[in-house]
Amino acid sequence: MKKRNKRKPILTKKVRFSYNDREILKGIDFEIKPNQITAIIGKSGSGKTTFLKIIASIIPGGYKGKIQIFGKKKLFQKNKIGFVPQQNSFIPDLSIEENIKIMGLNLGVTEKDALKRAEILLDKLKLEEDLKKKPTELSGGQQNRLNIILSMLHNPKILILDEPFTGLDFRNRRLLWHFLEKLKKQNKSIVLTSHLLTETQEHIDKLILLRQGKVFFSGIVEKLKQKLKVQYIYETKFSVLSKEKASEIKKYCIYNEISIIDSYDKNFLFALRDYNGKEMLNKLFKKLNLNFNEVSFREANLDEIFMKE
Amino acid sequence: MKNITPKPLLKYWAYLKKDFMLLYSRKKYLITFLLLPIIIGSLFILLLNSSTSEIKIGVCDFDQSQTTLQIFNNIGRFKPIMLDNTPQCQENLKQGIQENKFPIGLVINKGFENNIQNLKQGNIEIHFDNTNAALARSVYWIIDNALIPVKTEIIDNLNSELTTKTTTLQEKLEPIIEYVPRHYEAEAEQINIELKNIAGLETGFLVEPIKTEKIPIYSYEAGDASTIAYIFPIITIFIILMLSSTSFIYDKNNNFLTRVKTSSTLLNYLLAKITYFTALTFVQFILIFGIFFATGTRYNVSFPGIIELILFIAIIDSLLGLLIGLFSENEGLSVIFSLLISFPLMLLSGMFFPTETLPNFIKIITNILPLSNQIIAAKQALLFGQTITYPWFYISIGLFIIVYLIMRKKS
Repeated sequence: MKKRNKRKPILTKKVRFSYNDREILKGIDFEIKPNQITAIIGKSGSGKTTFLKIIASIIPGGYKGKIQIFGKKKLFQKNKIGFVPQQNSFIPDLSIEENIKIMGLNLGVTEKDALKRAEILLDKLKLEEDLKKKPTELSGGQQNRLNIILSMLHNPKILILDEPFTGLDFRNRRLLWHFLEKLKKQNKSIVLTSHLLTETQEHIDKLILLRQGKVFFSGIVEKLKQKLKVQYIYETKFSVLSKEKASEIKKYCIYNEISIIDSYDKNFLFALRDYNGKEMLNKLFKKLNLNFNEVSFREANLDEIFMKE
Repeated sequence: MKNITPKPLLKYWAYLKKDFMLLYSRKKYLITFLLLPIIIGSLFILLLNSSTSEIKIGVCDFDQSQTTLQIFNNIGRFKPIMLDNTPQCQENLKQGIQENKFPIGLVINKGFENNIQNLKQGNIEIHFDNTNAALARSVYWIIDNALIPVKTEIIDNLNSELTTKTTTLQEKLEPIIEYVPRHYEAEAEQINIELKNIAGLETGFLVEPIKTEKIPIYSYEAGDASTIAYIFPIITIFIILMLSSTSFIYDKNNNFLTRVKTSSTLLNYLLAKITYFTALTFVQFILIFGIFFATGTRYNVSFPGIIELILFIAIIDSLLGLLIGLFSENEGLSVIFSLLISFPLMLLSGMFFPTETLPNFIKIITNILPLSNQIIAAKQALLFGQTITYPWFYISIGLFIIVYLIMRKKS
């Protein structure tokens, strides 16, 4: 038993999946460890949602490759996973209590145990509402928390959340992050997708970056910065900038491995691999006789790294 | 105390309980589900026993004779409304029909009695609303049937007169025959025999020279009870197709199916759905059977046959409903698809129109349609005390596999 628990919560090898003759996943190798929060990010169409759906058995078959949950085939390990869908998934015509009972039974937990477990989760997620109410009577943030509770009534070892922060205000997002961190401390493995990258980077232990159906990067955010050669962001605003001079800047950047991740009006956002990049650019601006203001120079965050990607 | 219920059973119970809870919490669905068989069943009983009610009939009697008076005194189920005998009478009659004062009008022209007395045909015009489809189809049959006693009486009177006259002739002829020359004797005898035959003519022969007699092969009770064999499968296919397809869409739209797939299997879900709709079909059966039983209809039931019948109807109808749900984007569309399927099935069921008169290729289709076979099965189980001969079990298994595979593929 102990040996099995030591096995990796999720391990996938060469997972491929095609839909309508289009190859969406092109051989994904992926693993997560216990006590970790892992974020899967990638542009639209990179395959992150499809990959999560395969792991959570929403797409039950049709893929190639190996997927193991704690060293066993995922078909037999469904009870180890709690999946939180992006859209709220409750029965709107039943009360919160009835939803807890039904979803508990659906997860293989008796009604009594489901209510007990829900009581703990409701407290942790600060959802102190009358259980006789219908879920539709709750606010958006409360519905989101109920959605998570209904996925965890069987106390799963792995929690998969598909865009759990969508539509939540800052307060509710913080509440949810704290909850996920507490779960991590309870030996749970958490996998999530999110488009709020900067906020996500503060809380995660591991990042998986998918690109065109493949794992482009797997590791910590710092390593991704090194891999993409983006350590700093330098934002400048020119007083006057002709097309010719803008073109000169762009050419210079290409030859010197500096990325322009955004430009609008006379503002430029440069992604730099090291501090030296800033010196080089300043020299260039001087050489081109450009008057400019330094808007900011800072460590690159995940959103900016993602723009470079 | 540790719960020892196997987890697949808990999940199966979750899906079953959820649907029952939803039915209970969505009161409008519950009321419709319970009221529909009661209302439709009662309506059918009323329609089938409507022959006791009187039909109003507008009359323009331009003849105003003893014979026409006799007609209206003997016209059975009809309540004549005599219109003023003016030149506008026919116009008023038409207007009366248009204004729904009476559904049918009769016009008897002057000379009607005279014609009959002179052994000529008497003519009655029947005016009716030809946009009233059901009445237009049966108006001649209704009036002709109602006139049978009157016709019989007229012919009976004529026949009596004829008999009297021929008997008198015969009586006069008989003494003469003795004095007829020998070579005319045979002819005179022949005339006598023919007069005898005319005197002995039956009124029945004159009204209807060929009498057809309908002899049902089953008891009259079986004939009365046969209505339920149509009503139960027809009502159930309407209700179950709609409920089954909309319940699947409901689960899909509220992401309940996502929860099913992440924690259980679609097989478990599908089995629970069929169990739920079997329970609903059972309730429908009890309600319809109860209404008919309470109004005096008696059955020759086979209990194993009834169980088979309920399973046959519930499984096939709920699977068809799920199939509709799989191909519908929303609940509104699934209701339209359900009607699109159940309505033609109902028309081809043989309840409203005889399928025997349909073109051959439609007859072949009708023979394989689920509703037609459910009606045959209902007759076997409820009227003849038999078990069901239709291979419903194998067809259900086949349909179950198809629905499961499509559900798996589409989701």
